[in-house]
Amino acid sequence: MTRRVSAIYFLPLVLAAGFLCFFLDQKINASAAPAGFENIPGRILGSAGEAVGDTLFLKADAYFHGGETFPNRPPETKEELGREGFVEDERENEKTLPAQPAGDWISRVNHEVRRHGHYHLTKDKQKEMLPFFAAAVKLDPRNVPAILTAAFWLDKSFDRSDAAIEILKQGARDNPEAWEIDAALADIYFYRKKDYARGEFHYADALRKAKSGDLTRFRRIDLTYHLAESLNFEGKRALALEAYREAFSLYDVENQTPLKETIRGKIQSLVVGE
Amino acid sequence: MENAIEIKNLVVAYGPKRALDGLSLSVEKGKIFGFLGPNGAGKSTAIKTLLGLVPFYSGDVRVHGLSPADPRARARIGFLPEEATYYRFLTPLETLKFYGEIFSIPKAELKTRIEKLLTLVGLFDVRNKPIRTFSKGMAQKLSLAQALVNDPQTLILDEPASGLDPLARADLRRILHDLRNQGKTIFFSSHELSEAELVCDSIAILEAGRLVLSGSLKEVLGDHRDKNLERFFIETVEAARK
Amino acid sequence: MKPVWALSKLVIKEIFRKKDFYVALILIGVILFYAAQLQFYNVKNIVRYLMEIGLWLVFSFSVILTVTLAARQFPSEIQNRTAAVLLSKPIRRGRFVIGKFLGSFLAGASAFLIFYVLFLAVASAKGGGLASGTAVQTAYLFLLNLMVVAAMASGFSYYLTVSANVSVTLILYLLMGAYGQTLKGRAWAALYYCLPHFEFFDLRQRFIHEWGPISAGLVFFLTCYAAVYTAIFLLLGALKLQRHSL
Repeated sequence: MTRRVSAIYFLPLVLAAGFLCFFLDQKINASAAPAGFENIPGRILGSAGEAVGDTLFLKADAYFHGGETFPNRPPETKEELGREGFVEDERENEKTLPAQPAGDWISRVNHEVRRHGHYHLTKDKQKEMLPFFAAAVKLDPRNVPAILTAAFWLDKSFDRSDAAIEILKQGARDNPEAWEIDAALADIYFYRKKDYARGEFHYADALRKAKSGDLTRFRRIDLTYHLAESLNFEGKRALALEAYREAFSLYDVENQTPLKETIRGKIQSLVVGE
Repeated sequence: MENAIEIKNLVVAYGPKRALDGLSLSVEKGKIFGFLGPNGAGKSTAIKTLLGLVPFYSGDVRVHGLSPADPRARARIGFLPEEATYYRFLTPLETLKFYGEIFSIPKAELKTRIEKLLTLVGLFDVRNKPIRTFSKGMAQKLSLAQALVNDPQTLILDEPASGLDPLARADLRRILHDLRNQGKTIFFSSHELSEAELVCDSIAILEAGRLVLSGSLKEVLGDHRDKNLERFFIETVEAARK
Repeated sequence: MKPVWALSKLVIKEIFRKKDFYVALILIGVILFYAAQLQFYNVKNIVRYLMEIGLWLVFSFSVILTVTLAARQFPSEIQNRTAAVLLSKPIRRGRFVIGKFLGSFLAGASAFLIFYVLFLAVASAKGGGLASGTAVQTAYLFLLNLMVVAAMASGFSYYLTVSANVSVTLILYLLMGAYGQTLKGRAWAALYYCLPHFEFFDLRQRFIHEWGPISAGLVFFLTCYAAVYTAIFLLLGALKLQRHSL
């Protein structure tokens, strides 16, 4: 059963609905996470954007493994590691699948249709992951692993340090408590840009933000050491010496590592220089 | 001479209800046969049975000596339905070509025949217009054309005058007489008793799935020359109902 | 065979004279061209994401068009009262079923091939060479997939209304395509063994990730598999139509 709706009642309803939507939109935007023009998909999807972003991040991982999603892919065999197209890597802690499928003919046909094996993208194909990193970071600005992984690949595989820095900076703005992002930024400034002032700033920030349970001892040593190096390269010898000593003090007495010896040497050279 | 249509003791039931209850009639070749009856008498069911559209029935039905389920029987029939609806995205030319291909008519012969048919029914000028733009009368004309596309021996028409203006009806009567003169058998049902009176050689009157009366028009109306067919029909049906 | 072919041509004309195909084509084109012009950190020749999007669009729209076309053939013949006129001609009901299915499948296949060529052109322009052997095999297996789906929708059309048919067919298609491998538990054994496994015909991941084509023997097996299921669904439809009083 239908009724004709008189325009005189319909139009005010439409206008009222429009004003309500506009008002709600203003309210939502005022309380929303940073949202610029480029975050339209995130605004459209709302909280579903996080789920989509996570899925796209997993998709990037699947792409790296030749399309096989975890846990469907088996661990790589020795033969596969030696073959062209496969990249030697640490054995990952994945659920082991049988080499041949058990049981019925349907499983066997599926096994033949689907590719099986552990595969990593070669360097020239690794760029195929980038769209998923870009989308994951955009849709889920609070996905710190996605931000770090995207920056890592951009910096290490594609020599796009500037792009990596931009992602990490935006990630730091969206995740002010994430020490890992500062640590990653610091590494890029230190190693790639040789910008020791910025490196110092971010190493110090990472150490300041990390709560007591966040860092392993060796990670703390590493960050403190790099802070000391940055200070040293800037010529701030006193501050560098303090930082080296702090890093050294984190070692147990019985630890004997190359880095500990290096730090000991740096301390001695700075002390001698005083 | 073999009759065009032979029906003996035809019973068609839809659940507990019998749409046709022991119908028996014959239609001579080369005659125009009017199949009359009130609404719900079973006329459409009888027509559908002749066309092989009713798979389950009892009794014997023959069209040119063949069962309606046999495609060879249907190859000799042309059917004009009560409601003329065709594929709205096609043109008349395409519609006739489609039905011609169903009959496996050779291409060259089909082309010639289609042109003649479209001219006959007065649709040649609109042969390439989509059917969705047609009026009811134009659709009815197309209906007649598709019924004739296979040059059938028997035409089965269900309310052929429906939707036609008086001029078009006069054309239709002329066409039916011409077809009869060519030796074709025409079997039609209609509520337009005045039309039936003008064209039929024989009639049958059906009521509640049973044959009430059949015979040539002269024989049937013989002693009732003071009445027209409509009055005769009303009286016959009312008598059958008592 | 001429009546069967005449019926098929009728269905093919229908898909290209209604707007559904053109809407799908324009949507695919717009989305593909938009996706193709995206840049990611100034790295060139990134193509696999485009292939993923493009193949998903092409496959989805082709299935939707084919299912909706097949599902409405018989019900619309009944509703528009063209079934009585058609079946009063010398065409056996079994051939009617075959003709309607063949038309739906060929119409869907034509639409798919047009979409697929558009996708290949855009993807090739973006990323350079695509594996031609796998591209052909992907298309062929998807056509088999389309054949089974068309038969399923066609067969169901003699039992169900259009909306019920489209819903049931698409749900079964998505269920088996996405979860077919996992339905092996006791409660789902009937579905696992009886319904067609559409995931067999999905070579998109092999194509996108350059895994290479599958063996000829497997292709032959899948062709027979598709033919068997097509025959089963058409037989179901023919059995129903034989008993249908018009």
